[in-house]
Amino acid sequence: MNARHHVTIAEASRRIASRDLSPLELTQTYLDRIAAVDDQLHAFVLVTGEAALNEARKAGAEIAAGNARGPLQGIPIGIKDIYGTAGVRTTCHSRLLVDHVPSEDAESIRRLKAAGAIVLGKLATHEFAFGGPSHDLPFPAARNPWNIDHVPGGSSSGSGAAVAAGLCAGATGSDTGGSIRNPAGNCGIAGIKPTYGLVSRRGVFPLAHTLDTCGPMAWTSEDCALLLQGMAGFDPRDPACVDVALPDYHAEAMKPVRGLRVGVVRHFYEGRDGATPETQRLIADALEVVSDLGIVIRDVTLPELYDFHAAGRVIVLGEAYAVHRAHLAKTPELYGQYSRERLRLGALLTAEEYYQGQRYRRVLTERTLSAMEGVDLLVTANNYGAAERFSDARVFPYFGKPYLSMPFNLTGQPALAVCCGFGTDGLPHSMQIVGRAFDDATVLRLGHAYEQATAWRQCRPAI
Amino acid sequence: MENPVEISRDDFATLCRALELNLSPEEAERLREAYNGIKALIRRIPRDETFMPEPATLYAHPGTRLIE
Repeated sequence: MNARHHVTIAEASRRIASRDLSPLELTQTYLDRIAAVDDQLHAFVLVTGEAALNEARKAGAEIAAGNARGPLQGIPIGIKDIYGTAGVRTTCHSRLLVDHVPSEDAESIRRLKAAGAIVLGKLATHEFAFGGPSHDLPFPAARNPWNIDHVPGGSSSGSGAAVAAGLCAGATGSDTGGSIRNPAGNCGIAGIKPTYGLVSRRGVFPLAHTLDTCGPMAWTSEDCALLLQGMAGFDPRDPACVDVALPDYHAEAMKPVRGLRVGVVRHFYEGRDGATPETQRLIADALEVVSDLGIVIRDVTLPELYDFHAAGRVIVLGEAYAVHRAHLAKTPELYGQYSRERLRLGALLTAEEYYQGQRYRRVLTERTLSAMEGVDLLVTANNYGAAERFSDARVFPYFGKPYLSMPFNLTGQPALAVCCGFGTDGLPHSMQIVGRAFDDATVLRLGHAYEQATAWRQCRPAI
Repeated sequence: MENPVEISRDDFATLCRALELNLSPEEAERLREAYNGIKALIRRIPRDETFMPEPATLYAHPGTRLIE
């Protein structure tokens, strides 16, 4: 039987509802776990233990009084430290905001709290969701619980590490070019970048506003469905938010997958310049499992990955520089080296280049949607291999292989990272499942079915 | 990636001064290399009119556009 800190949200929710487990017991379990191992992982930059215990007591009392709020009631989660939290320090992992205390919760956090989730604290991130992994920031960089010499990925680094190590039941992340999916893959968990416009970004520090997407990270796709239900919903104060009817993501994710049609984007990751042979083999194995589930598979060709990379990079750099220009000019020394140098690259782009990037993005989106005719979902690699070592990190990682995740930030489609096995070094590998805009539920459905059909969700880091 | 037109150190220093970037020599050299890299990458983006989408799609907000 799993240790209590490795319980899934779905299982914890059932046990809380049946009074087999109290929110207070579960919250204390995570606080004990954080105290025991987080000095090795540095996943949390702030633990709000007393507040969490108080909320857990309230949740227990509510449940005892018969006031059920739903499956997130009494579930302890961690919050990426770019999400504003009322009365609780929100630093973006930066010296620039080290004393910043917002007066309001980010809208998605307000929703999660209203659904009964309990906040354990704030999680490490790459500085401003952009500069990392860095060792010159006010807090240490989060480490990968499968091997602490390796990065957890980023920018939602603490979220990936904390969920994988059982320091919280789930976490929030944000994804502008892959910042949910990259750490989810590196840490062997599930993480969904929802459809652009589904989850409010109000109160979350921006990186690149036409790409930024908030979403959940958890051990399973089922848990991501439960968290997404808590986070999603129209917010008229986020101009990107779209007023769409929300399905019951959990119920939809539990439905059968037989008959779904999947397009495999092999040209993103196969061949000598693609993913590592180990990743290619694990994805091939995963596709056999998917086929055995009764899913029709065929190959799909999208525009070249480098084209997505070029458009995405110019947009991210241009928008991020616009956010930070004033502070970069006034107090550059308050930024870490990686953030400072990466952000300055945005100063060197022209308005015409930025505009052409946005224009080409539209073309790439149209071509991607055309290529999806006849299929419900896409599957491709999520990362090129397992997590790299800290010593392999570099200031400008943009000129090697293009990010596998960026295409779906540009198109706005929902994209889920799921673990598809482990390498000989014990590190997890991952694949992406991508859906049509606002069909996040079908993405989660295939993720759940795949996880149920494989044993990977039984493997936990030894830490 | 191939980049036939790299900016010289002198021209790059002039550009950085105009933008008031205040770089150390090491930072300037790293940024110059990155500048050359990003400009090469950007050349993948077609800049003629053959790929011009319809004006309605050009100006639509990404989030709104997705559910049309």
